[in-house]
Amino acid sequence: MRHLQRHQFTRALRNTASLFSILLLAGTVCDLRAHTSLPGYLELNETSPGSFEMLWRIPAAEGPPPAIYPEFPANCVVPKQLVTQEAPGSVVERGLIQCGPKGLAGGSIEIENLQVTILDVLVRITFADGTSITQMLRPLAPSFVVHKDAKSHVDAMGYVRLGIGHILFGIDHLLFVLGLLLIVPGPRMLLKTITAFTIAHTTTLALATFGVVHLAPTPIEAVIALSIVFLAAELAQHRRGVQGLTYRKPWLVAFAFGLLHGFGFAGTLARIGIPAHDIPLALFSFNIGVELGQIAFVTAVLAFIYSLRTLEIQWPSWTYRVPPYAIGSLASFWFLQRCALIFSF
Amino acid sequence: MKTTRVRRLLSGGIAASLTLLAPAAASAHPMPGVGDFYAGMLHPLTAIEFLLPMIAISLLAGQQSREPAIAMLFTFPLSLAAGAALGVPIHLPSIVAWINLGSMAALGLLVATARPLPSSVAAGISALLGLTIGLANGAELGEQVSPWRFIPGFALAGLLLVTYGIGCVRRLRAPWMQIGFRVIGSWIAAVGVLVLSLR
Repeated sequence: MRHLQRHQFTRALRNTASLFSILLLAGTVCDLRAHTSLPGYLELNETSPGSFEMLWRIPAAEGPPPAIYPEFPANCVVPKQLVTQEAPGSVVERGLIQCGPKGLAGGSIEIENLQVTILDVLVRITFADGTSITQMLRPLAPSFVVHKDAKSHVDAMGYVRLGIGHILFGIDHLLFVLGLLLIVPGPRMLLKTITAFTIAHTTTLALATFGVVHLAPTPIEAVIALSIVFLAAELAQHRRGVQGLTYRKPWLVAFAFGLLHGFGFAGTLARIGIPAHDIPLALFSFNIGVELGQIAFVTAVLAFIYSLRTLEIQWPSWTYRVPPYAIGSLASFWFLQRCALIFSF
Repeated sequence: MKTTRVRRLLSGGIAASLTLLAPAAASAHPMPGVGDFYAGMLHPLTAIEFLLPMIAISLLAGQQSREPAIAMLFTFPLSLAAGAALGVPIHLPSIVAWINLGSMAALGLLVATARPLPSSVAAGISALLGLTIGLANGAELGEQVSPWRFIPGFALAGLLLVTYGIGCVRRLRAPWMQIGFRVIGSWIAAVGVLVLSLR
């Protein structure tokens, strides 16, 4: 018995060691980072007629921030140097914009260099009389003319795009779905599992966006990474004949972790800052976008597996270890990285 | 230059349709800040001299028997990655662009005739095309794009395309579908000849 335990212990140790070596490799060589996909954000609050407080946030999840900046109409000046502040994953600039008696009305706001990026920028202007306008700027449409009376706000399509972007660029969510795809047998169980994941993340996304539940985003992101490690471990153990919970009840695991992922999605929506009256529309459209992205990804993966099967390749047995260890290493790396983020702020 | 206009128009069209799907492909070139991996995946799909030969090679792989198809499945993405890695530091000799354009006509004809090839020839063709497309894409990489993320995305796009081609041709066995794949091949050959003659 004791011998067996020792054997198990050394095996566990060996596995941990190999996992860590892959981890280090992933971390140092590839410089792979999960980037949470966020749009840029420009907020202008009119404090006195023609004078605006500005907040300009550039996402900088990977390396230096992109060289984009807002260009205001010619009648606007920046009287004082802007204050720059670095936050996790973004750079924030604050300052004052003075546009004289004419104000911003009729003027054009453009985000310079946006066309050479793949970022969206959300612009929100609140006027002294309490009215506000919101506009999403894109690489193909980097400017807009401010019409105070026009009820221009971000349309549903804008939030759908944001949702698609969030799931396709949030590689962590995709890896979780990939893990489920590799585990779940048969189309019926897969449908059930993906539906459970969807119901769960939609629920928490709604709860968090309406402010019923509030959780700090950074620990949530860390636990999301951990949920992928969990799936990877289940996959790896299955190769050794251990039937984990995910193999027995995949929909249950998908539901439980789906709740977490929903908080992650909500974090994105919250950081953009949606005007209160826009919340139901934004929530609905963003979620549609997330589902569309998810369906596209699932279709692509299933089509890949289905196509590959036509060749009836006899894969050597070690190749079956590659997906769980690759997914697990990457997710562990993100987990450590996000933990570091929790404790450094 | 008429050809560049046609090229831009066509690649612009493809890029625009991709933009609808992912909020990504507005420009395949410098994309600071976000997903060089996705840039790598989309880059070869936004220019016809890469996209069409890649479609042709994927259909050709599907038309082969099992062994040559497997050989092509592995050699193509690997040689894409190798070519891109070699292409990053160098200035491209113009012969590469000619091979890419010529390959469109040659591969299109092979697909149109649905010729069975020996494994070695199939592997050789896909390796050559992979290398030249890889070189051309690698040489276009700006300094802002990280090759460590671009190249895996790029090779993955090649792998997916070849796999989907194999899946389509091998799964859709109806005679009219098989003729359809050969028609696509003849169109690719026609575009190749057209672009070559305009150059």
